[in-house]
Amino acid sequence: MAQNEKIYAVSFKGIEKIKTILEGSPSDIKRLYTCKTPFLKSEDFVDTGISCHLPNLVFTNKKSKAKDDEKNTILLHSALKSLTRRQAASLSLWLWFTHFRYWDYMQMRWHGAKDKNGEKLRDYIKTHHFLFSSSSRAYFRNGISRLWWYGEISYEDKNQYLNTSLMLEKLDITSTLVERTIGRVPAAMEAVFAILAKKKKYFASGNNNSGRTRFRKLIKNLGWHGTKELLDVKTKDEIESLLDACTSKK
Amino acid sequence: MKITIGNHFFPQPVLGNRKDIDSTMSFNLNPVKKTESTIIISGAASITNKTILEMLKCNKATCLLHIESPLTGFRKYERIANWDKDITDFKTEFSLGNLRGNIDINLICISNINQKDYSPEGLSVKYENAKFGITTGSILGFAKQKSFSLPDDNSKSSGGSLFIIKANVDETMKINFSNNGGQNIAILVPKSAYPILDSIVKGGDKYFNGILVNTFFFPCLVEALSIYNEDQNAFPWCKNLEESLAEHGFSIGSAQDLAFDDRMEIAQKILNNAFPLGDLIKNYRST
Repeated sequence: MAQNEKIYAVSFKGIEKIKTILEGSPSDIKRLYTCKTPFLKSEDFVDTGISCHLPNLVFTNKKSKAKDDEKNTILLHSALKSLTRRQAASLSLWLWFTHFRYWDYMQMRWHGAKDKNGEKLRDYIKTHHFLFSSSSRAYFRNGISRLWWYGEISYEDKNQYLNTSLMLEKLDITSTLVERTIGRVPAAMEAVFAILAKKKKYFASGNNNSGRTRFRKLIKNLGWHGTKELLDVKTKDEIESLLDACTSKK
Repeated sequence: MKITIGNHFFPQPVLGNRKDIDSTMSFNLNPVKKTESTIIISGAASITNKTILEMLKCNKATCLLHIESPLTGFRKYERIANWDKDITDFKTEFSLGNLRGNIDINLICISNINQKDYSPEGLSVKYENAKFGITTGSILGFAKQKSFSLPDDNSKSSGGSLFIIKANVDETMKINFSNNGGQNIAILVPKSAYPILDSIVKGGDKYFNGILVNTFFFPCLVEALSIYNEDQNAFPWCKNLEESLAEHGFSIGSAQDLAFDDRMEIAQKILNNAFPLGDLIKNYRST
């Protein structure tokens, strides 16, 4: 049976160490972030008191990142399902994952540091290995925390991770759902997933990205409803009917 | 006083938005209470618009307390009942596990009915006595949002607050390191300044909170580090300070004599990055 392992967080001193590196010269950033061994050591971590069986994250092909992301989302979120949202909005926790536990995965999946220089390199590392800001959006860009958060907002008790693949199928759908207010309205999210599942062809990319345009229009319409009515008090079925009406319009 | 906030375009006039309606919707928050796993938010809500009040009384409208944690994406709406008067108390308790960082709180009033001729009392003259169609869920009013912040810890309780701000009995400022039997450090602010500070903090002003930290907590923490450095058991709050220091990688004791500059640097780093600022602020209104 798989052994549980302790989950750590980067200590204040460790965070200071990373910040100093990220404020330093791009050549140092490149050297440290493309190195095979992590530059943080055990003295830079503090025990969070959480333990679980952490999965090995997969990276099979550079061309099918979405599929790998979906698999990894399910693997990581199901392993860390007991994590509260409060714990999952902690910089120090995810830094341990990106800078130590999943260092090898980060090197493969977020390998852009090798090809970037100067400020672009700094921004790339800040975005994917660190957090580019203290907003919730930053957690959807960090290489590891994004996987947990994708799982968190697409998971539902009944169908478990069925919606995860719908959400991660296209980048446009993902960003629309996670970076807008509707991502905070569970009934609205469920209704959008239901429509996406029901009308796959309608939202499939056609000529001139027609699927993307249709999806954007759908969300715009939902947003418009949200400006006059409080979506939070509506049921999934009520919102689904609204969306159904939008997609049925000629 | 007219509410001047809000700049949204609603198809119906909304109390609190763009001076649409000449009356008010507001709320006051009591000091937010935190247990190990829950948070308790309480206060009093007030609506002065007769039409909306009447709708609330007849269950044709609902007033909701909106609590949102933008960082975790958590939002919750709690119904506020008992609108026999234009002011009513509210209290709600929920899990801390969903909250982190700044927590936004607001009041929102929505319709429970479909109505074709909605025309609230005090409607701005710009609408020229027009009637509006509203449906179930239509927004009728909202108050001015308030915020407070929660500590940023690593799934570990800070074990209580280190600082408490109190009103002094006179116009001087003092620091009491043995407050509450040494459980925490009391910063006694001038008596006349206290209500002003209190009202600004209630508004959750992040700029003011920054000033508050630098003006009051920073010098106090530098001094607290000196006391701790000399004797780690001088006061019960030393344990609390020690936990916070250890959690963020600092290990200081009497073996290591800290210079003033070192203490300044540690205090600044703790306050800037790691110390549970929310705890400092939430206890601000202790008396």
